[in-house]
Amino acid sequence: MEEELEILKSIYFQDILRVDLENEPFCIEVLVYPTFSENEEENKKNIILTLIIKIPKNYPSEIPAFEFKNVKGVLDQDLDIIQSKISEIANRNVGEQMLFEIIQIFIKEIKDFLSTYQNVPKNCKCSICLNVFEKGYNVTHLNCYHYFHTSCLKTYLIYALNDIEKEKQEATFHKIRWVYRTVCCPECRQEMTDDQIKELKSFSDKLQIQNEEATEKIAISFKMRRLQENMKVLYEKQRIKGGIIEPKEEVIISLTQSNEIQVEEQNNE
Amino acid sequence: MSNLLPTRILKETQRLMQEPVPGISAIPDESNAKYFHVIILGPSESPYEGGSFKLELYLPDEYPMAPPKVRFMTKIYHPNIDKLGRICLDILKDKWSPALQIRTVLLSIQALLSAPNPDDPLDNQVANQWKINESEAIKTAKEWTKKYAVDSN
Repeated sequence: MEEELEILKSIYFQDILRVDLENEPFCIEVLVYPTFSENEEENKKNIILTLIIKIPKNYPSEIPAFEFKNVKGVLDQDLDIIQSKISEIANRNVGEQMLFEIIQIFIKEIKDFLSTYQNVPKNCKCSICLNVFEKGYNVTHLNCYHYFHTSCLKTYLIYALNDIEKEKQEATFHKIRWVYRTVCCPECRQEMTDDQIKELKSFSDKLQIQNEEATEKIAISFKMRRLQENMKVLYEKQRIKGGIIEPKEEVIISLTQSNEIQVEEQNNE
Repeated sequence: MSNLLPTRILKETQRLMQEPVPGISAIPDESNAKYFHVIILGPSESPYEGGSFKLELYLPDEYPMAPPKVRFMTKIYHPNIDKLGRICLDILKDKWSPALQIRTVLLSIQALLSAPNPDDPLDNQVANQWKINESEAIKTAKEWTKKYAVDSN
């Protein structure tokens, strides 16, 4: 065990590897972040995490336990995959020195997983436009480490601010108290800070992702078409039974014209 | 479907059709890709079990900044759904977020059928009945389901 630790210490720098032998179980902490810039602080900005290896007394005949700490910018599902790869190696090496191999795999996995493009997690989609982050588009994260295209987030911000403003005016008009609210992260509803709002408002980008239009069209499969037919039949049956709510004008959300025509045609038959 | 759609709507639609949510069918209208024909099956162990409920869902031009508009077309006895089929659900109003999707909205509606909430009513009459005499209300909900939403053939 000691010998193994000595080797590890000689390979990794102190700021990457911390060893705690004071408490039981012994802990080894490995800090990882992708390096894409000369600036250390810049590297640590978006993605950083620590693997804690808890060494049991009977190591290596008993395998260590693994935990993650201070995770920033890595999706839970990606952590699960990394965790299972590490466990696989540990299980394969029971009874032998395994720490070096585990740490190597951990570092490799993390670096493979994360694209270095703006240091944004790979496999991560902008939940506003549902596109993955590609080169050429600006990406922003909020304090909660949820990522968005900057332009998507800005569109959202402007819309949400407008909404809140309308709500305020309505409250004043009806002389009721307006309950304070501000713009929140679309994913977790953590409030955005004033600085973030200000910064985002001043952002300008020619690339507007969410307004892009699809070049493909929706292909409705045979199965879907049959389902559509079944839905029509069901609707008709329910209508005959009096089970369909007669739409009043103000609630029709937007029955397309042709849709109404279709229904009429069925009525005539 | 002559008009081009925002990619987001296309992606959502493709996923809805390729990986449908159990108990929920949603298909875009042939002539308007922003209008969806929806069927939600009454969840098991709810008063709506066995029923097929028809809904309509429309994505406004501001979508996904603004929430989709949804309403029940099949009659349903539920404290959070009114006579006109309008649904009282926070995510369809002030709790909407663009990170939500058609899928999540329909799932929430399905969950609302499993867990009626008479403390946040849209239909006061139904909600009162639900609070005063829950078993009677559930009985009525079952009757309505059988009468209007169960395919008898």
